[in-house]
Formats: sequence, C-alpha cells, structure tokens
Amino acid sequence: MVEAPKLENQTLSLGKDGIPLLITVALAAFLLLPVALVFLGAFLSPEFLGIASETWAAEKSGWLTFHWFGYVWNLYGEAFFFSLRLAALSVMFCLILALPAAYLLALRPFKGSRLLEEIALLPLAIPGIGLAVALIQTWTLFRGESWLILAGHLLYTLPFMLRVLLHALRSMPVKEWGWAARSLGADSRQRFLWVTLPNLRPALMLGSLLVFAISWGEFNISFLLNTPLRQTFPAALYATYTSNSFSVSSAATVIFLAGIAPVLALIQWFGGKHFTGIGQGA
Amino acid sequence: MKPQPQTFLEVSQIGKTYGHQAAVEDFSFAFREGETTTVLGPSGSGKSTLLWMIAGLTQPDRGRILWQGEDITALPAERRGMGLVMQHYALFPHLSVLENVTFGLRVRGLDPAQRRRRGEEYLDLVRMSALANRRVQKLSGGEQQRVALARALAIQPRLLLFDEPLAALDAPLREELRGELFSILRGLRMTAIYVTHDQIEAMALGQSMVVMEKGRLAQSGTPEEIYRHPANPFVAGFLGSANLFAGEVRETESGRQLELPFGRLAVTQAALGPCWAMFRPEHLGIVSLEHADFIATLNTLIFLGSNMRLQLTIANAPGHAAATSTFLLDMPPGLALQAGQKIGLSLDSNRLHLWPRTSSTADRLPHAVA
Repeated sequence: MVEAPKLENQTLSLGKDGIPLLITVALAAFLLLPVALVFLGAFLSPEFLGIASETWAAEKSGWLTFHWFGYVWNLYGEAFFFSLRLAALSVMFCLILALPAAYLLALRPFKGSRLLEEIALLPLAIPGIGLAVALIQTWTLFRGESWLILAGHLLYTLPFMLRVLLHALRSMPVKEWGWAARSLGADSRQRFLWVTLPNLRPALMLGSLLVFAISWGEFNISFLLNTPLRQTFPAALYATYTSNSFSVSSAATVIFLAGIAPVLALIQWFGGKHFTGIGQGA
Repeated sequence: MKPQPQTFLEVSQIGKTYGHQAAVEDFSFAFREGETTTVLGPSGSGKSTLLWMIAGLTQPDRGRILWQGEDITALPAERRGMGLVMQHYALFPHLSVLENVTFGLRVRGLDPAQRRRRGEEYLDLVRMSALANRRVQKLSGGEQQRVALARALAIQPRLLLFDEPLAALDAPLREELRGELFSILRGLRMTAIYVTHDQIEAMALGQSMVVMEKGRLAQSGTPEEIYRHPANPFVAGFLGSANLFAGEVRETESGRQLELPFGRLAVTQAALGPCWAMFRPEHLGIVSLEHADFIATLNTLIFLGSNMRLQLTIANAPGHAAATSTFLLDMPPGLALQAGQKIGLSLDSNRLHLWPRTSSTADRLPHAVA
C-alpha cells in the first residue's frame, strides 16, 4: 500500500527553518523600506504626506503628483544625459581597450604579463575617493573637463571589463579552437571574427552591462571632478539631498533607479545564464 | 604486382627543442599515400610534437618537411590543407553540428547550398545526419568526435592528422569508434597519421607504424613486423607484453648457452656477451615437469575470456639482486591450475629475442615484467 506523502515538512512553521526565514524577511524589509519610502516621497503630494513646508509647489488637488519629476528634469535633465553619455562612452572605450588587452594577457602571455594584469586590476582595490583625489592632483588644470571625468570612469570600469573578458577567455579552449580553425584554413582574421568573437559575445555583453551600471552609479570620481556646470546624475542626486526637499530628492532617486534597473535586471538574467563566479573577488 | 604506395609526406631530420629538452630529435620518415600510419609512443616521446610540426602548428627547429618533394616546412598551418582531429574535439560551441562541419568550406568560400550538400554528405558518412541542427554542446563525447572527424574530412584534406582522438572516451565507445574509423579511413583510402599511446589502437588502425622513444624513431614497419621483430627491448615492452631479462650468452662444453637469472637455455646462433633476452607470454609452453626447461610456481591466474594469463615466479640463482624472476604466460583456457602449483615450462629458442646489452641500453627497460 502506498502511503500518502507527509506534508509536515513543507508547511511553514517556526521550527528549525523559522528563524533563518524571519531574519531573511527582516533583512529584505530593511533593504526595501527606504526604496519604498523614496517612491512614496516621489509620487505622493507633500500635503498628503503631511509635509506642510512643501505645499507651495505641489498641485493643490489629489494625492498623486508627477510635479517633482518635472522639477528635477528641468534642473538636472542635462546631468541625466551627461551621465548617460558617460556610461555609453565608458562602455565603448572599455570594449576598445579591454578586448585586445584581455586577448593578449590571456592567450599570448609574456614575461611580466601577470604583473601588468595585476596593475591593470589594481583600481578595483583602491577606494574611488583615492582615485579621484589622485586624478585631481595629477590633472589640476583640467578639473571639470568631461574627458577627465570619463578617464576617471574608465580607470574604475576598465578592470571590471578586463576581468570578465579574462575569465571568459581563460575558461574557453580558445587555443584548441584556433588550432582546429587553422587546420580548416582560417586565417587570423577569420579565426577572430568567426570563432573567438562569437564565443566572447556573452562576456562582452555582461562586461558592457557591468561597466554601464558602474559608470551610471559612480559617485566619488564624478563628485570630486565635476563642477556645477558639468555634473553627473549621481552628483546631482547628491545635490538634491543636500539642498532640495525630500520630494525632489525622492523623484531624482526614482529617475536614477529607472536608469539603472533595466541594466541590473539584464545583468542578473545574463550573468545567471552564461556565467558563474564572474564577480568573485572583483 | 601490387603498385607500391607513393611517398606523400617526407619528414627529414626534423627536430624540436623546448628549453633544454629535445621533444623530437633527428626524426626522419616517409609517410605513404593512401595509408594510415600510426605513431605510437609513451607520453613525452615526442609523438604529438611531431604531429604538430607536420600540421604546421609548431615550427621545427631543425630539418625539413616535404610534400611530394616540395618543401613545406615554413608553410603556415592554414595553407597546408591537412585535417586535424584532436583528443578534446575542439568543436565550435556557437555553431550547430552542420555549421561546424561546413566551417572549412565557408573559409574556402563555397556558397551555402554547396556547403550544405557537402556537409550533409560527410555527416552521413559518420552517421550523424540526424543531429545536423543540434548544438554541439548537447552531444556526447563520441558524437562530438564524429562531428570533429566529419569537419576534418569535409575540407577533403590531402592528409588527415589524428592526435589521440579516442583517448577521452570510455572503453566500449573507443572500440566502436575505432572500428568505424577503420572503415572510413580504408574506405576513402585516406592518407592519415594517427598518434596514440594505445598499442591496440596503433596496431588495429595502422597499415604502417612508427614507434617513438624519447623524441626519436625507435622502429618503423607494419604492426606485425614490429611485434614479431622488435628492434630493441623498449619496443618489445611497449608493443605487447614482454618477458624481459638481463642475461649473457656463453660458450660452454655443451654448446652455446644463454644464462638467465633463473636458468640456462641452449641457443645456437646468438652472439656472445651480455644481452637482453625477451620472449612473449604466448611463446611459453606448459610441459610435464620432467621435460621442462624451467620449473616455475604459479602466482596468479587471470581469466581473460579467450585466454588465460598466468603470472609465474622462479627462484633466481644465488648472486642476483632479486631473489626471484617473475614473468607472464598466456594460454588458452581449459587447464585446471591452482595458485602455488609447480609448472613445467618450455621455451623455443627460436622465439627468443636477444639484443646486446651495453651500458647505454641499461636504462631502457620499459614497463616490461623483468
């Protein structure tokens, strides 16, 4: 006779699994609460929230308002596009610089290439503020120039791209593919374009998303190198928190998150699909 | 009269050194058209380096490679037109089975319809047509190797090179694929060079065979020639099982005799002096104790289906480093024998191989039972 399976273990009880579960839920709540609050602050009218000091700017009727978005957009729209351009350029330059570098380091190692690799990955270990100060001191005259901010972002994002590509190249039998392709008549251009590059595509994609996300959210370098006329969006965000109301800064935060959320989602999806252990030690 | 196969590829005094280690040294051999030549050797014997130099993937330090008399030593691999099948397949994971097979045709600029036709033809040959559109990662090891073979064949190479192609597969599959490879290579009258450390593979597939030792050619010939007449103790021990002993041929009152650690044997035509003596396990006979050349004790008896393998020991004469000598005997199953039993042995001196033993050959003992 077949006995019905017991369901005892599957029901939620505060037994041995209960406490870890509680901790997890509490932690999630702790992490999500500020985000929820920010959304409330951005979309609800101050009156509704009971913040009397800010009723001057809000629409008089209703509890839902998009007013603060317009306000932030007028003030910091340029910073938004500057950050967008910066992130896109970071991705582009990282691809151009890291692809040949990773190819060389992974597949044609030479004397001192390991040391070179360590140096290239070093910015990962230095706090952003340290990098920013070093950049300012080295390039004092150019402070506020967009290219210096871009250079700062590259300094910070290039190691991530390099790491992802190195990991990918070292985990694939690129050499063996090369031998096979050569025996089939493929020259070096065909080997790169028809074999290596297509197989690197997931890594290039993931690296680009990472670089975009890091550049988009980068604060230290942007903040120290920027001027009020040349602001990145995270620096603007900081400005809203220091000098604007809760509603304005909340709206700015929502805009900031809207820029990064799809990229983060893609990273999750893409990283889970093609990679394991990519970010370890990064 | 059978036409003599032509020399296709000639390797002349080729050499390659890595650091201070010579991987291949002064190697010369003429590979013949339409034949499979197997290159057999233990790991580190330089057989893969040799293949890589023929493929053009490793540049030799010395010597020349000639293709029908033309020097191709400096010709890059991509222009040699030689198919390569490797141990770990090296299929392109972003391409389907068919796209892998037609990769070399795409390089050659064939149009898609031609590529497809020829790709399917070769997939058919390796019995993989049904999986033409599969991703290669979804295939088993055996299937991947079939695809790799079809990919190498599809370019209609002038020479097919194999580097331990079956080494990553388990035994039953290895045997099955070996059989298929045999029919394909013979069927297409392919000229092939097949590197392996597996003596059965080397003997089964090779019309001619090269045995390598420490980067040098130890012996070449047909598998049967090499098995029957090994050139030295190393070859004897590497190809097949060998009972190998250090002995000495002496002139005595009762004629010329081979003195082995455990006894003596009359030999008529052997050269005097220290020697290596070798006989195959299947060349020992079991006789009654009173007619025996030697009397041994049966240690273990292994039933191998078609035959039985006996491991025997004989006490050595005083003065030898080891107290006993151990050797193998192969015989058809049937005799009721028991471990510990005394067994009378006879050895036909015609089956005995003797090589002069000099100090330089002292370290050449392979993994023979000695």
